Amino acid sequence: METREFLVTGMTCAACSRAVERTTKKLDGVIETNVNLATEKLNISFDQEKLSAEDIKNAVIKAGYGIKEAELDKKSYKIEGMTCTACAKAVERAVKKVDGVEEANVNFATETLAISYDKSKVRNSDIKATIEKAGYKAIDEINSTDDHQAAKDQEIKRMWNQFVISAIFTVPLLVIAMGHMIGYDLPTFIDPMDNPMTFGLVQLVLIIPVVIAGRRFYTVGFRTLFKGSPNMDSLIAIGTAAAVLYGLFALYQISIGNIDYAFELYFESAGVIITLISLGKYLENVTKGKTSEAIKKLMGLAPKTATVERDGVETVIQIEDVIVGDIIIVKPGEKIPVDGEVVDGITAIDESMLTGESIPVEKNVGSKVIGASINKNGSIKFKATKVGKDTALAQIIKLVEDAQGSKAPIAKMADIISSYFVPIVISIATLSALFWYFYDGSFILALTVFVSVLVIACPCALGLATPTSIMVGTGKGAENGVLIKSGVALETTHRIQTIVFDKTGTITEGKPVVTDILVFEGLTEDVLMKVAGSAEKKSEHPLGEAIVRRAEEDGIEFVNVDSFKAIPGHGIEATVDGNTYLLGNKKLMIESNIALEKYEDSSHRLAEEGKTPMYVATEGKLVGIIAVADPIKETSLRAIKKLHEMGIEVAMLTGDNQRTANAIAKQVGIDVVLAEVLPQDKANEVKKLQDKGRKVAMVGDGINDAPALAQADIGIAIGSGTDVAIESADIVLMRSDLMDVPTAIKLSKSTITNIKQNLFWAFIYNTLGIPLAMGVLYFFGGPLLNPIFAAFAMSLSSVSVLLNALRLKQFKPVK
Amino acid sequence: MRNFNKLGITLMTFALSATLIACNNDTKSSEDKGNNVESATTDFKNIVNKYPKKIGFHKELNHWGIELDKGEKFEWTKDMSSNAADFAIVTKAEPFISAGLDVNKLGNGWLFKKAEEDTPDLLIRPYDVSDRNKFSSGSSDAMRVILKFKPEVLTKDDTHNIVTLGEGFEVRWAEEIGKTNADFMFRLNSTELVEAGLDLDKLEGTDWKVISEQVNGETIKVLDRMYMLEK
Repeated sequence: METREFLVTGMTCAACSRAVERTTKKLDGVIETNVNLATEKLNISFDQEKLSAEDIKNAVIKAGYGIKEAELDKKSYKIEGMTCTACAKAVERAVKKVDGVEEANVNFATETLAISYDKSKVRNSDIKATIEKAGYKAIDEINSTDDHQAAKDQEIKRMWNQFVISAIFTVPLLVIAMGHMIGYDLPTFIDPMDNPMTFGLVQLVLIIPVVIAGRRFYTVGFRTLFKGSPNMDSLIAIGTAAAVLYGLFALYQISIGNIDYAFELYFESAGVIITLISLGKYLENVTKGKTSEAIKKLMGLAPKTATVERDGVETVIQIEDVIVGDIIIVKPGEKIPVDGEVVDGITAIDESMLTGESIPVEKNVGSKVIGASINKNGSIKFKATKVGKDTALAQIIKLVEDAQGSKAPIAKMADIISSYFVPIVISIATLSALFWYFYDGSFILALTVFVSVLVIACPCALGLATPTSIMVGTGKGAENGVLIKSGVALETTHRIQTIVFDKTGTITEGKPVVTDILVFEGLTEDVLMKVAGSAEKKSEHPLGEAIVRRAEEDGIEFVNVDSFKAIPGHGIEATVDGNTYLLGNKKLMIESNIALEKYEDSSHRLAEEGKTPMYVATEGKLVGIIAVADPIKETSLRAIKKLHEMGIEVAMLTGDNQRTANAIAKQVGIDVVLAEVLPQDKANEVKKLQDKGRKVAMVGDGINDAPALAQADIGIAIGSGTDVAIESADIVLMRSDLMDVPTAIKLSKSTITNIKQNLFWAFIYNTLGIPLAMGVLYFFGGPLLNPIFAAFAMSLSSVSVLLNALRLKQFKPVK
Repeated sequence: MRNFNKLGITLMTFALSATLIACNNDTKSSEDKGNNVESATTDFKNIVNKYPKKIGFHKELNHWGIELDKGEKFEWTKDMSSNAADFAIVTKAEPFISAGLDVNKLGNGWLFKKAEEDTPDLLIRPYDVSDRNKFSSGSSDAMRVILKFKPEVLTKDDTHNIVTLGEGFEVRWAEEIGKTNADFMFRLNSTELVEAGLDLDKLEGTDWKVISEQVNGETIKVLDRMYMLEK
C-alpha cells in the first residue's frame, strides 16, 4: 500500500472537495481517500499494483480540477566545470535518474541547473553528490521558492483585482439602475423615462467588464454543472447569467418600443452579486492563510544554516546538508540547527517554542538538544543524531499538518450535506420561480425569486466551517505543547468522561528514591543494599534504579550477579555471591511462600505513607524491606482538581500495591484506584471502564502504557515518554506537565464549540434566507428578498465563519 | 449513478420549466376576453408604449402617472403598501370653483392642492385598494399587479376598460387608442361636490358633462370628463 499527498487546485467549496473524494474513491485499488478543502490537499492510500499516481492525477483532472505532487520543491544550482552543451546534457541525465527528481533543466548559457523534486524522497546533498559524481560541481543558489505559497499569494492577488474591477463598474451601475427609484435624479440622456434605450445600453456597457472580471464563476461553474457535480460557482453562474441574459432580452424589447422593460433590466443584480461574492472569496483566502499560520510559524523556527566542524575546519553549510554524526558548533544567541547530543561545552538552552518550558534548560556533555531551540549563554559542540524529517521539529510539523489535513466526523457530515445541497438548491430555485410565474404572471418576479434563491442558498460557508476551526485549534494546541494527531481525536476528546492516569512518571515524577531500609534476620543495611543494588543493576524498572542510585550514593561496592531474571509485575530473582534472592512486591513473596505476617505492620505503615515496600527474601525468609517513594508532580493535584471541575472522573492505574496506591490517590484526589495491575492487564482495565459505557482517556508515558493508550478512546502520551507511547497516542503532551491534560480537553471543547458555531453561521443564512428568497413571506404580504441583499448575506456568512474560526486564536491554556 | 441523478434532476427541472414557459406566452392577445385583467393590462401597456413621454414617476408618493391634460393626471401606485392612494384622479379645480364649489367644505374623500409653479389648482380623489406589499417593475406591470390583486374593481364595456374607484367614481381607458371619443375618461360622483356648493348647471360649457346614472339602485348625477391623448 502506498500513501501519497497531492495538491488539488480549482476547488472552491465543499461540493468540489466531495467531488474529488468521490472520483478518487471510485478508482480500483484505492483504499482510503481524504480531501481537505482548507489546505487543498488530497491524501490517498492505494494499492500501487492496481493503480499509479498518474491514474489518480488523470481521474482528478477529468473531474475538472488541477493536481500536482504536494511536496514538489524547486531549486536552482550554479554548475561549475561544464564546457559544452554535452556537459549540460550529462548533468541533466544524471540528475533526472535520481529517485524523487521530477524535472531537471540545465541552461548552459547561464550555467544553472533548475530542478523540481520531492523533498521527502531526495535531499539537497544527494543531488549535489550526484552532480559531483558526474564530474561537476554544484553550488546552491539561494533563490528557491515555495511554489505552493507563491501560487496562493498570486491567487489572493487575483481575487483582490477581481473584486476591485467588479466594484469600480458595479457602483455606478447600481447608482444608475436604482438611483432614480430612491430620489436620485439621473441626467436626462440616461433617464429611463426619457431615454430608456440609452438607460439600458449604459448598464450593459458597465456590466460587461464585471462579467469578464468574474469569468471564473462561469468557466468553473458551468464546467462542473455539465460534469454532473455542480458547485457553488454553478449557483452564481446560473443566477447571474440568467440576470444578464434577461437584461439583454429587456434591451431588445425596449428597442422595439416596449419601454416598460426599462424597469426590468437586471444588470445591477448580476454586478452586485459578482462583486460581493468576489469579496467574500478574497476574504476567505486571506483568512485561510491566517488559519495555517501555526505551520508557517513552526517551519520558521528552524535555522537555514549550520556551522559544522569537519577535519578541524569550521564551515557554514545549508541545514539540508547536515548529516548524522556531524559535529556542530553553536555560539550564544544562535539556534540549534538539528537534534543531537552535546559533546563539548556547557550552556543553557531556551526550548520554550517547542516544549513551552519558559526557563532555559541547562545542557552539558551528554545532554540532548532539540533543533530550533535557542542557545543562550555558552558555546557548545554537539553531535547531530537526527536530521531532516527525523528531527523533533519536523515530526511536530508533520503531526500538525496531518491533523489539519485529517477530517473529523462532523466535517464529513458537512461535506455530504454540501454535495447534495447544490442540485437541491437549483431545483428549489427553479420550482419557486415557476410557481410565482404561474401564480402572479410576472416573469421579472419569477426571475427575482430564482436568482435570490440561488444566491442565498449557496453553501459556500458550510465547507469552510469545520476545517478552519480544526486548523486553528490544532495550531493553537501546537503552540501550547499539545499535539493533537487527528481531527477525530479533536472531536472525541471533549466527550471524555473518565481519565485514567498511569501512576509512575505521570502522576509522579518517575524518579523514585529510597526512603526507608528495614533489615531482618541479622542482616545489615549495607549488606542488604549491596545485594539489592547489585541485583537491580540489570533491572530497567524505576524502583530498581532507585535502589541502585541509593547504593551508589552510599558508596556501596556492587558484586557480581551470577544469574538474573525479571518477573514482570512481580520483581526479580537474582543469584548474588552464590545466594538466590527474590526482590519484589508482596505478590512475589506470597507466590514464593515467604511468610510476611511478622512484618505486616511495618509494610502497612510504609504503604500508608505512600511508599512502595520492596521485599527482599532469601532461603525462604524475608531479610529486608526497602521502601521507595516517587514524588508526586507539583501540578498533579491542580490538574486533577481542574478535571473534576470539568465533570471528569479520574482513575489511577498502577502495578503498585493497593495501600500505596490508595495513599497516593488520597493525596491527589483520584476517584478510582486500579492497583496491583500487571502490565499486560492495563489495557483490560481500560476496556472494563469502557464496557461501563464511559468514554475513557488514558494518560501514560512508559512502554507498558502503549496497549492501554491504544485501547482507550483517547490515548494521551506525556512528552517525556517513549517513542512507542507517542506512536500509540492520539494526543502528545510535549511537556511533562499534567496541566496540559485539562488544557487538551478544554481545547477540544473550544474547538468543537467553534465548529458548531461555524455550522450555525453557515446554516442560519441558508435556513432563514431560503424561505425568504422563495417568497414565502411575500405570499403573506411580507417582504421579498432582493438578490442584492442575498449576495450581501452570503458574503457575510463566509466572513462570519472565518472570523469566528480565528477567535480560537484567543484560546488560553488551563492555569 | 449519483452524478447522473444530480445532473438528471437539474436538467429535467430546466427542461420542464423551459417547456412550461414556452407554453405560457407573456404577451396575451387583447382578443382574450376571458381574462379582463390581462386584456386591460395589455391595453394599458399599449398606451404606455405609445405615449412614453406622458408617463411619469412621483418619487415621494411612489406613484406612476399619465398626464391627460395640463396638470390633470391619472395616477396608480407602484407599491400598494406605500400609502392610501393606490389610485388617484387628479383634475383641475378651476371649473368646479367657478361653478360654486367651496374647497373648504369638501369631505375627507377629496384633496385640494393649491396651484404651484407649473400646475393649476387641483382636486384629487384618491382610492385605496390594499396595504399589501406587492412586487412590480414598470408602470404597466404596476397596474397589472393592482388589478390582479383586486379584479372586482375592473369591468368592461364594448370599447373601454372601466376601473371603479368607489360609488360613482370611475376611470376608463379605451381598448384601442384614437378609435373612440375618449382615450381616457374620469367619472366623478357629484354628490359631495354639490354638498360643498357646486352648482351643476354652472358646469355647462366646461369639459365636464353632467349625466344621470343608476348607482346601487339610486339615480345620481355623475360628472364625465373625456380626454384624448393625441390632440
